[in-house]
Amino acid sequence: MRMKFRNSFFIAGLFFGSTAFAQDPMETYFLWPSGQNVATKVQTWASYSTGSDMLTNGFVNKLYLGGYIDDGLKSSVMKRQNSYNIVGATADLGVAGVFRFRKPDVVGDGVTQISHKHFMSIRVRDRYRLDGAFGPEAFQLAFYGNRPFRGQTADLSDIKFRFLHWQQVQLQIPLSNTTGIGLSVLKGESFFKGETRKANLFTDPNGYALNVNADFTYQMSDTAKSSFKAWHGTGASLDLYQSFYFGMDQNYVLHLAASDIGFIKWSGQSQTFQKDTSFSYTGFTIDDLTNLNDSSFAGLSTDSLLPTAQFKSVTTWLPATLQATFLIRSEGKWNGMARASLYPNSTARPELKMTAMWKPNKHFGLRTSVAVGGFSRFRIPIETEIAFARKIYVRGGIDNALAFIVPDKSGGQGAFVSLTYSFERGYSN
Amino acid sequence: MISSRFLLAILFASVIGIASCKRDNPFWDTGIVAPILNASLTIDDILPDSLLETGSNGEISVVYETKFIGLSDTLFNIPDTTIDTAFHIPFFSLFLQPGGLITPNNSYQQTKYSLNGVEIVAGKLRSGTMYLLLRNDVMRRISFRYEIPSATFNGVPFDTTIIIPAAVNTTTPSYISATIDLAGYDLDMTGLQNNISNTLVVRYEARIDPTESSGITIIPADTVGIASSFTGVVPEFIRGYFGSSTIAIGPETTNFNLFQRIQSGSIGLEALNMELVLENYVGMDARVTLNDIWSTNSQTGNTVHLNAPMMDQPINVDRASYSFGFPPSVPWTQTYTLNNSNSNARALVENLPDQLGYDVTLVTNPLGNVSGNNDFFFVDWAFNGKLRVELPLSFFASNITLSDTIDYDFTTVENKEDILKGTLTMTAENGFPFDAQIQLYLMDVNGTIIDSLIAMPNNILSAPTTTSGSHIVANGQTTSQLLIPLNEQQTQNLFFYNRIMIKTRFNTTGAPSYVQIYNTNKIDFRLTADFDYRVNN
Repeated sequence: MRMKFRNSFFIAGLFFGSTAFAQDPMETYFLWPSGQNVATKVQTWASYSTGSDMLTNGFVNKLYLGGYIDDGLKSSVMKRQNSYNIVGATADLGVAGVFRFRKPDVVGDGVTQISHKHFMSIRVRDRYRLDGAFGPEAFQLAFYGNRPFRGQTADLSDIKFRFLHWQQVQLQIPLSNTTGIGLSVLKGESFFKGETRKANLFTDPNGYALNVNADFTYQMSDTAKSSFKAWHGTGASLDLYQSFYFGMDQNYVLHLAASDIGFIKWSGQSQTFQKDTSFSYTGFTIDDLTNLNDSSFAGLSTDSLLPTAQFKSVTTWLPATLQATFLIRSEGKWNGMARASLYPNSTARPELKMTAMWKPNKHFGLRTSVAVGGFSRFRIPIETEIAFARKIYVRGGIDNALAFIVPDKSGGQGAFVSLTYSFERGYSN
Repeated sequence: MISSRFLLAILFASVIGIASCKRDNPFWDTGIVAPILNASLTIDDILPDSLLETGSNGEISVVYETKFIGLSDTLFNIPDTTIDTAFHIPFFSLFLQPGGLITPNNSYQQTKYSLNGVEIVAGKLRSGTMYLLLRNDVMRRISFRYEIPSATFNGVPFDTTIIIPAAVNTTTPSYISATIDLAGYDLDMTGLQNNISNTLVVRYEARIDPTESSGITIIPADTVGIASSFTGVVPEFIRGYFGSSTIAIGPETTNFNLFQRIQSGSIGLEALNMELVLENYVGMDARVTLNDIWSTNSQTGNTVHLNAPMMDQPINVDRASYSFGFPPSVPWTQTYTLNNSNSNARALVENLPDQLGYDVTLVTNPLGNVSGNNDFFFVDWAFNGKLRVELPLSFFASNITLSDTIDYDFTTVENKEDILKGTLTMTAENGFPFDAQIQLYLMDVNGTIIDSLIAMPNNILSAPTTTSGSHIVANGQTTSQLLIPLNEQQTQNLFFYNRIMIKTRFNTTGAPSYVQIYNTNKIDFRLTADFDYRVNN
């Protein structure tokens, strides 16, 4: 029995387009219930990705895994500096259940059609997201110190960092065969956000003074709890999907998706530090050189430079994803796809991705892509799927093959793995 | 067919394996340039304000005063004294009811102290302790009353009653002791008839404790005794005749702290004013002879003896009078002004002494008891000599080496272990008309030098100078930079130890011309650091 191709694509996009991250390492088109008797599928997955147009993979690996970051590593990053640099990271852990209530309709000549009325899915996700942007001198100051800026001003303006950690319960409902909606309730666990507007540091040529101008804001969620039990914010998000089909055999599909359109409102115990200040530090003034006791150095703590915390509720918009995907399908082993993505509320840049998909049989699939934009400059994602006994799909992939080949000359990396299990039953209708 | 469970196990093992991947902290080295401290060093910081006087044109003089001849400790010294008294029942046995009197009715006792020719008629005690030890051979409790009619506190004579426990048996007496503070008591030392001196009157009364339930027969062998000891008796004030005697004061030395930080070198003073002041707060005539006064530099071993007109000459000292205020007496004073023309006072000071010595002879009451036992003495106000040195800071210095030790504490400096190595730069803008060669020595708690810190050359150059009259004066500031290179071990030493010795060698500009120091002269110090700092997240 041959299934109607058009609808299968839609369902796949509905359920798995929403798992895409800013870097989109997981383009999952494999969960749709293809079998006649497949009633329920359960999936679990784990993924991470990082990216930067300046930070190299070698540098990020050291930063994450630890160890000494030597001058060579820092130099490889400095060679990639731009006038404005971005960095991002994301992680997603979760389980999903996709439920089909009816077996596919037979529409004639043995062709079945999967209706939007047949499905819904529920996901529970634990998500992390970091967005950052900074000028090259911020990196230089952080990793080389202010010695290179002796007699100069280091520009620290427009530094942005935001980290979000939240849990999500996501209900996805098809509205039609080509349209779907996803509704999520969000539990905010933690966040911090820091940004400078106008900031710089001048180092006197003789080291006599450090002059700081800083207009900055720093916000953080309630620090009372930091575990999974912490519920410091509540929010909601919306996902929307629409597919358009073209061609004689509808071999061309334009799929539009918007995901993570939402917010988290953090509790009133969230802290906001805001200051617009200029000061010159010339060292401790010693009144009595013959009495260099500890009190002479009172105020050494940097706490005195921070403004007083304001406790108030803070609302953060989720980093959203807007995607337009154009798919060229064939009945053969090869398919192709092009995708353009925008990332509102994120420091990621627009992204274009071209993918070639090879599926020689129903048990194995391989796809490779080239991507420019997003958090990185250029990536080569590779992923594969293996099906076992029609019930189990194992998928895995890496976000950038260059991370393994030239780690000190490439930015952006990631990996994912997922396991899907299909439960079958007979249908009575 | 691959087992589904097997695949699940692989998947979750992989996830757990990735999640539990061991992570270390990343760390990297940065170069930090930062100001550390700044300070200004004026003459006020080198010498205490209390020693400095500023002239009308801002010129600085050092005025140092030290009391170097003291008499109070040697003039009157009352020895510790013990008086034993025992009461016996004479000739025959006697039965006494409770309350029955053992001692005679009026058992006053006078004790005359021998005080080497000093005849005290009255006094007040600053301190003193009376220790009583009482003995009882009677097998009944004894009520023992002890009075000192000639010792009064706020007009009330000393009077105390002590119960002595009954003897254990006929052969084992009982004892009890008591300690009584006599501080603040007024003493009348003229005896029962008020016609003698140095005499203390006491009275005892012993009787069977009236609360005893029955009487007892006492026999001649029974004893009720008391031993009273007076210790640590220091008078606040005494009056009488202090005798006519010759007292040797010294030879002794006292510390002279003005130059205590100077280790070596020499100075030349343009001028010096010195005053020797003799003061007599004692209500007693005297005659004093200054046999010798000298200064000693312990570093060089050099001693300079004072040559001045009043030396070796008897000086008549008049008695002080009561002031009825503070201080309690109006002293006799005599001031001798010494300068370059009448003495070698300048040489005495140019010796850079750390000790001042004296040898003085004092004859008390050379004319006898002309006061009729009305000499007086307040213990804190005796006879003394003071030396007052006024030293205009117009001088030349040659290799004057100062040494000082500074304790510091960097225990609260955060992340100091991440400071790896670097260079401290000390910038000195010198406004004094002299060069200074400076070195810092890191020391341990025992004062052992661990390391020297400042690299050569370690000179702070003199300020530009100009001539003003006969003096060389600073005119502006000269900037010098001293480098303190610190390798990783030296850096950690700096945080580990907490004591630094500063050794500075001064040479004035244009010596032997005199430089003049003004209150506007100063050195501005700025300490900056250029160091490698390890960021360790």
